[in-house]
Amino acid sequence: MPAGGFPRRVADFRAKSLWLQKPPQRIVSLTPGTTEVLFAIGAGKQVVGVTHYCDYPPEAKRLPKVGDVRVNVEAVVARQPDLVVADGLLNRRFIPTLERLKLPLLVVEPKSWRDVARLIRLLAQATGHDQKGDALARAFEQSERSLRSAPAPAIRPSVLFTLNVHPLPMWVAGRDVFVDDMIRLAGGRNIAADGGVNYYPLSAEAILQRNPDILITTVPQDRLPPLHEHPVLKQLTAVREHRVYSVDANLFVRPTPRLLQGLQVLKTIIAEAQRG
Amino acid sequence: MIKPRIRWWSAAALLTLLGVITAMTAMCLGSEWLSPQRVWYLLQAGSQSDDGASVILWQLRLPRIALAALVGVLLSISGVILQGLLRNDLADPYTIGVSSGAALGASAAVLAGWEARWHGFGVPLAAFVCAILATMLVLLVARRNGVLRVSVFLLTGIVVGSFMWAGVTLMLTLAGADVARVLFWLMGSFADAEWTRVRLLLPFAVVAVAGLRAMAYGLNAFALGEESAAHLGVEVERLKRWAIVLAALCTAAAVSVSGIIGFVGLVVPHIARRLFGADHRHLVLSAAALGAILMVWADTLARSVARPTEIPVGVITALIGSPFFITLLRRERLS
Repeated sequence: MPAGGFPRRVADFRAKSLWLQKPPQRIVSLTPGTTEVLFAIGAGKQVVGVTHYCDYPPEAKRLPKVGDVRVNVEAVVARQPDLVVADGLLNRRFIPTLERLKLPLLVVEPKSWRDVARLIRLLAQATGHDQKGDALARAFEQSERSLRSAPAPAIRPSVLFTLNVHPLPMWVAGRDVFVDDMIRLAGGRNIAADGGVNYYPLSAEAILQRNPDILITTVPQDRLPPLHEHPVLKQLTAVREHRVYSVDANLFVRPTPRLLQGLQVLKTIIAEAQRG
Repeated sequence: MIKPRIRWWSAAALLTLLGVITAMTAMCLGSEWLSPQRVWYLLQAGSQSDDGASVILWQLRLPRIALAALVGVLLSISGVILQGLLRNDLADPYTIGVSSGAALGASAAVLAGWEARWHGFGVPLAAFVCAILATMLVLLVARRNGVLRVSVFLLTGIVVGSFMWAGVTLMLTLAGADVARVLFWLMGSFADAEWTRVRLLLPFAVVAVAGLRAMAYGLNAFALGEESAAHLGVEVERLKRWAIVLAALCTAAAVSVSGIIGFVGLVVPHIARRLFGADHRHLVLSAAALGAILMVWADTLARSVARPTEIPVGVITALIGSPFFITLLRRERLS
């Protein structure tokens, strides 16, 4: 265990700093995303508590549970953590309680591609895995740099990313989610970016008007209704030209290194559309 | 009995005019403005065109307008029946447990992943069945020796409703990820309107209007009290039974396609009585028309105010319904 650099001070996404005497050995992670990052940077063995939704990597499933999106604060305290990692949005309601109990708390709130790199670096610094974290974070920054240096694509297909298809309205990815950045990085255009933040319900009229070239959904293939039979959706270019794709939600909605895989999936889909 | 403020023929003319204006506005407004001339042209051109505006009008706006109108009719009529029967100004289609039953069924169906089942009818069907079951339960519990006491019925409805809402809350707590979609359903929306739903709902609206017309005499007599109604030759227990069945059926049908849209069923009957008189023979048409008009307006605003996103329609019904109702109430007291 590289203990160099401790004690050290780390600042979380709220710019609140936390003083760490030594690398924490009893970490409680309150979202699937942070759990995944902790394992990815090699801090998996230091984690002693996760949520019911933490299903990746498989080792994480065997750890004691401290709640789902609702945190069971008693269970957190019972784990006697020397570091608690929470999400400012998902765990918002519980953060005041965790603070009142003076638990060593790091709050992250990643909203963009760049934030994911920051999140990885932060957790790496806090757990003493600086090198591994740096390498992963750089992979994220690299994909943004390579976009800036590459020539602008002649065609930027319009993309709609949705969490459901039927019943309408679709809940689509707007601004301040990773998918919005990922679509841009993969050479596409998110047609729902101007309508709202996070995932929000986009009206069917607006979908028809904006008429995406590509429709990407996290609904599994076998649960996808036949879109070419739907009176409205069958009019969409994406449906007419068979550019409707089912993707694994976990590669797109969690702030983890697996987003890089999601980006590859998007690039393949978008490149296919660019070829026509 | 409240006297009408205007004669029936001017009422009919006024409601028709309002209805036409409402329909026209609703066709023009939306996430994209269509001019009245354009709408007129598209209407005449028929529904076969693949042109974007034509699809928006024929496949999105028209079914939505029709569905909103039908749901408005069903909820208002159901409200008229229940307020008349229970002789309680606070009664509305949701006091008898229908909405909570539907909510329970729909939440369970959404969480079980039935949204795409049976061509999208998995959730509405679950909502409808559970809504009917909930009312049956209320009826069974409230009846003693073949007699239904109105106050017991009202109380039972509220209690069974609370019980089922607890079930909904419990499911939402355990559900996690799908909460947003369940909540959107619970708040009510016509975003999923299709012609098939309109066709399914139309018979219910016809039955509702015909049924209320048939019960009009009985309900008028009921306003004088249960005993007086019996003296006037009304078969009281039979009327109660059929009135509740009809109200439950209307509400369940409405709720299953649109989610839970509050307020219309409570306030439209009051507005209709105050404007056009409390005679149930007139209320059939005045409440139905007002309910339809209010609901279409509410939905039009719901889908155009915050474009490109949508607001739950229940928010709008309350926002425009309450001030209107309060003005009416105050005027009445002053005069």
